[in-house]
Amino acid sequence: MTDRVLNLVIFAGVLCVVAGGAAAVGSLFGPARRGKTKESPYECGSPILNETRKKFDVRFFMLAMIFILFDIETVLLIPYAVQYERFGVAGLVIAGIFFLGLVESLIYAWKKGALDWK
Amino acid sequence: MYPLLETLFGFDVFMPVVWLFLAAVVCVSIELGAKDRAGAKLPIFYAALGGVLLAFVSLFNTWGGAFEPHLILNGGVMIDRFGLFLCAGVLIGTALCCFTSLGAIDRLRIGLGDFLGLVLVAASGMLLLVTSYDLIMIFLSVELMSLAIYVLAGINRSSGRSAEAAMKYFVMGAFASGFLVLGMALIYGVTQTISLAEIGDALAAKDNAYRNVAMLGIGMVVIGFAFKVGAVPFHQWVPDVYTGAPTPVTGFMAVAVKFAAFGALGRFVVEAFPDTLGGEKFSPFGMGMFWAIAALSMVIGNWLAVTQENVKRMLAYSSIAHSGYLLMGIVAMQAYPDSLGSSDAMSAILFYLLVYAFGTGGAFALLTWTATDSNEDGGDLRGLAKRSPGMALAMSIFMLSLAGIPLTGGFIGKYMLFSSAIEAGEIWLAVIGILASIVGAFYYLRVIVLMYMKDPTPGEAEAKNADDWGVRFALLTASIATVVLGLMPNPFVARAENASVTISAPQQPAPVLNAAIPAAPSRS
Repeated sequence: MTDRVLNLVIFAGVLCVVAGGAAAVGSLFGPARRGKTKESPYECGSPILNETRKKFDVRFFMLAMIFILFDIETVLLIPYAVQYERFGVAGLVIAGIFFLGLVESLIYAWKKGALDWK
Repeated sequence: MYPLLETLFGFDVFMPVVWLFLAAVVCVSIELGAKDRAGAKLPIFYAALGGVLLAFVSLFNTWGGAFEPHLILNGGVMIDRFGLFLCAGVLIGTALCCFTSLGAIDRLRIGLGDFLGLVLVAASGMLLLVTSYDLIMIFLSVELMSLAIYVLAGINRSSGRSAEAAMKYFVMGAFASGFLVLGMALIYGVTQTISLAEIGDALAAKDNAYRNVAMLGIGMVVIGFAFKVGAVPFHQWVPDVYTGAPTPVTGFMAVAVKFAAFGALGRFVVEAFPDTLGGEKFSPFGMGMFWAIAALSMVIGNWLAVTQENVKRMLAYSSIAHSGYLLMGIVAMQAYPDSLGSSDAMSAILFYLLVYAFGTGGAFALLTWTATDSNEDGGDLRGLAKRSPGMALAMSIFMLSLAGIPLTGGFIGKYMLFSSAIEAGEIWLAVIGILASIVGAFYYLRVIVLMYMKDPTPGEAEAKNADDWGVRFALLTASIATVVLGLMPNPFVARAENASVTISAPQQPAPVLNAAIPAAPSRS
């Protein structure tokens, strides 16, 4: 037991020393040329237009949320799609019940007006 | 189990879950298709109730007949009487919630279909939770249950307290899930298996360094469950969430979630805790942890409940105390040297859960009934006996049962729990529990005093919900069941014993019944 724990402690110690040392060396010896461009969020991208902390329309939020939900459901269907031959008719029925819930939730979002863009 | 399905698909499905899920889909569909909200209420209610009844019928079909515990879904779900008993309890909680929400839904300004759809989805997660037999199934079903209940806690969109309850419950629940999944990862890392049955054997073959990591994981899983059942010191969310959530939801949380979480915890402890570990039944670390959580929950839950003015908040603290009593059963289960005694303690837990379900579910149903627009907690029970004697009688029965007074189910349940703790040698824990429940009797009886010996508050008119037959039916059923459980508990105790023998007895590896699915082709 002690061997393994000791290994773990040594590993953790080396990890801290290496990571902390690299960061320390960088900040001590690295050249620091500060400037407006250098400190902008996207140094070599497009210039920022305005603050990010401002009100935005709740429609974006709803759409993003619905997108994430259905995206994740797709992920759940992929394992079945890869292995569907193994599961036969029974698997088809079970996946069908799952899909029924998906369709139902799409209809729900639609009817409740979450998809309207106006 | 289901001849029709088996012949059709050659595949064993856990039908109650499917029924609940389909009922949820139907409820939401009716809500969407309906022209007016009021007219859709009854069809939605019947659809939900129909789903619960169908689930109940298929449970009974499975329970009866020649029955061997077996695993389905590639070993993910265990169909045994222990799980079926807990499923029945969850379904009772769901049915009570359907009845109590029928009238209360108008105050929430939301469609009954949305509400009951969420309740049914949560209930299907609970059914999976109490039958799940591997770590991934446990985690997935905990999440399926919890996500729906987070939304339910905040479903009263016009109430700030409801939103606060949902937020608190969500943050604390996510925290608990983090513990749960990290613990499971540690257990899997050591044992290389997710099946509960194999965890113990795998640990027995490991040396101490590995076992300590696994014990850390097991401790984290237990902490995750302790959050879910609201045991001290993981109880801080309980009073605020129970008070802020709409009362039918609180009843559902107090009854069904407790059934599901204790079921899963019990199964996890019995199946996965390594009784082969170094030849001892249970490791001292886990034992001390359960002992401390149980004692703290009983003492602190009862102590804080005494000082509450709001009945709903008092019931929240009382539910913490009841978690403590039930955890005492789990301590007793592990303290027994033999598996027969363990199954006694387990059946005491199951019976107590049943009694607690009717007592607490009924009490929250009554608070739903007395609630008004100005007082959503339904707290003003002063002089209820003069306003509506029947309701006061029902509430008295629930309070007596929760306090553990003879002639109610609560007495038998407490007797079974405490005697199993004493027989297991946990005298001190039993003493703490008995002292705590004496304190408990005080605040339960105070409610009865309020109802019978005080005059009604002037201006407190007859409750507007007087013709709410849903709540009336729930109250009638719950009070009759509480008395029946107290007067003739034998059939129910026998079923609880039958349920716990299958899980506690040393058993053969259960057969996996899905022969229709060929094994995955091995890929090198």
